[in-house]
Amino acid sequence: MRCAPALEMMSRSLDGPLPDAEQARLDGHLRDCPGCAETWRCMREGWAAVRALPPAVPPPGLAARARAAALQQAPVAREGPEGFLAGLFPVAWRFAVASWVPALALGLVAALAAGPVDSSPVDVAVVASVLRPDVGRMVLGGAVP
Amino acid sequence: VVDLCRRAAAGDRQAFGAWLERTHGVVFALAFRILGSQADAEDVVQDTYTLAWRNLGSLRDPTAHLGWVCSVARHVAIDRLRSRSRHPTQSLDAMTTDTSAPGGQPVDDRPSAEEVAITAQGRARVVEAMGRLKEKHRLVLVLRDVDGLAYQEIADALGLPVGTVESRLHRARAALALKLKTMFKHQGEAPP
Repeated sequence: MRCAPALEMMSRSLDGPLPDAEQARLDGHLRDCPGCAETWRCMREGWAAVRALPPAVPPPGLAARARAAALQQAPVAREGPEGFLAGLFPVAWRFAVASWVPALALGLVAALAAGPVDSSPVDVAVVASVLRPDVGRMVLGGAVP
Repeated sequence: VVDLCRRAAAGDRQAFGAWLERTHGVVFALAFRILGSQADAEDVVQDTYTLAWRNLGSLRDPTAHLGWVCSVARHVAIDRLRSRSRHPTQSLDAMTTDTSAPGGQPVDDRPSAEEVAITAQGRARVVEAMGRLKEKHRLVLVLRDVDGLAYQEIADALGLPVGTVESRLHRARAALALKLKTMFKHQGEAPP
């Protein structure tokens, strides 16, 4: 066994006993590798020193203070149509729908208000009459009378 | 705990209190290790659960409650860190001198023959070696070996897969051991 997997086994053995086969492999490696044997001693003793450091323990009363502070606030809408929709549509879809539906509705209203589009053929003579002759030739080509 | 969270999300104030009671230890440890200050960590806990109460209704999967509340806590803690513009790690020096827990509670559940034998000098060296670890490794090491969090709790606290937590922990312990070995070799001494 190489040193890298041995290091991982050493670490895992600190959390609990290894399976017998793995423990035997680790023991064999530690017998044959003085460097890893020294590392193992440092790991165990360093681990004991680390565990002796003061843990982060919440002070008494913190939970009560946090609860009191939180419950002063009103919860944001938990029920009703919003909650129902939240279950049906992912956030991205809800955002897309919220953005595009009003835009499409406005476009439709504007189109209806503008009335039907005049699709009759262009009267070349009428167009040409409001253009300078040179511009008319450029835009309308040979159709200019 | 999941059921408490579900009921809290439906507006049950009593369930919210019980859920907070069960989960605030992990949130406090996370905030304390990010900010390095007990007062700031307490503020983060309060702000986190205030936000949680207001927004629990948006939590779709109550089984992910711990990861969700820790995610809120991380954002609150990082905002606080930015606002005070200080380095985001706990004062490791404080660990060498302060033998009481951050909450003023004595460390009462870990005495062992090995620990009794650890000298103040040895502890200072271990803390020095920890200070040389990569921050992502040190944070996992401290949450696991100092604060005693389970792998899943650390994964929830940091928003990482459990496998990543395990590999970071193994690397952190190995790196710490190798640093200690180097330090002792240079100083010609035995480990603490």
